[in-house]
Amino acid sequence: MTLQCNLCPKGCVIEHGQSGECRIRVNIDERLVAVTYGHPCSVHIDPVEKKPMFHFLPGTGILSIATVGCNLHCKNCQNWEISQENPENVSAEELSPERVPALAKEYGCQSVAYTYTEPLVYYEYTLDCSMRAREAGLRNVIVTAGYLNEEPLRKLYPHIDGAQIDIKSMSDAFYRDICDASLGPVLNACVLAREMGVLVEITNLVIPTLNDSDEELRKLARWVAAHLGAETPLHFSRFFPQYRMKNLPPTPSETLVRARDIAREEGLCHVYIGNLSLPDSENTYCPACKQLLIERRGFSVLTNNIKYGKCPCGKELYGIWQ
Amino acid sequence: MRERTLRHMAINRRGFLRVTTAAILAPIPRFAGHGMVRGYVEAVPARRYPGPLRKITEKEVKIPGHWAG
Repeated sequence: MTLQCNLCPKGCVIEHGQSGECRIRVNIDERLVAVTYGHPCSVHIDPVEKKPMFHFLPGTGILSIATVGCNLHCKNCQNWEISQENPENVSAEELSPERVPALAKEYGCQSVAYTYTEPLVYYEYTLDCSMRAREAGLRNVIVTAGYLNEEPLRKLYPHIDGAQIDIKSMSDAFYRDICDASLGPVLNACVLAREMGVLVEITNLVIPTLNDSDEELRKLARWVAAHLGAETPLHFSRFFPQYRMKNLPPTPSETLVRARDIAREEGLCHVYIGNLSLPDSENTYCPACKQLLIERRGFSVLTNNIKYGKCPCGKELYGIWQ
Repeated sequence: MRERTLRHMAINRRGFLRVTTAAILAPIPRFAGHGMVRGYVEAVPARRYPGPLRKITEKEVKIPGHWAG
């Protein structure tokens, strides 16, 4: 019997013995099977700033896990060795959802991140791990492209504290041509996360000639301010040529500075630059009194003046701070 | 010996209908399943991982991942 996977908007129709586009949801004996469940290919402790999550428990380590598989096929994928590979070709570790909180606590982590590939396609594992982590008093973060249907997102979000969502472009044509996806569901996932009380941070990888025009950068910043709020952190990230997009140069620093200026003009309070070491590009300032609150260098927090989620001037800051 | 002509190779109307009907109906079992596609949102966990397995080591966990994100 042929099955249809209704997890993501692709709605893959899967023949017996075949997998969906994500490579990890397989039709085995007329059942839809998650073949990577409980078998992450990467388990590491990262600084939370690496996600990048700048408004989520700054300066802490986060247990970061990922299995093989992704429902997008971006030509510029940075993690293509695990996201665009079949599970048969990637070694994995056994790690049941019950063991995840214990492992996080063993290494002093306060939170767990589902990251590196696409946590929404290893949905059942993400859901079960996040429920177990919550029960153990830990917090959960997903680092995602946000390409999922609404019903499964509504079930997952109550267990998620922070979401780092990658809006790759504000152009549907870009999503079709570069990522083999579409823009609408991603924007819906961002809005739904915000509505359901998840801390949202947005990343945009700025690729020369493809999504670096003033109009597109302004459109993104305007959309974030209007639909997610002006205090939503927006990270402009530097592109490096790799995978199937080696024909373009790395993003010039001037482009990233221009993107930041445009986003600030559109009223966004927290705009950061990533994948590039520029002075003052990763620091957090109070939107009210402009005081320096968090000074960062690389993935390190040098100073943190936020007390109980507030600036010394009394302004409450968007984020999860303790 | 009878001479073989095109007229001898022709099939009658009943034969033609049989062949045509068989040709139309034959692929139906192959595609019958497509009309009854069942949709699922959630998958069941696999009993075993299809690729190679390795042990979690403390050394690996302690170092930050070299993957982006």
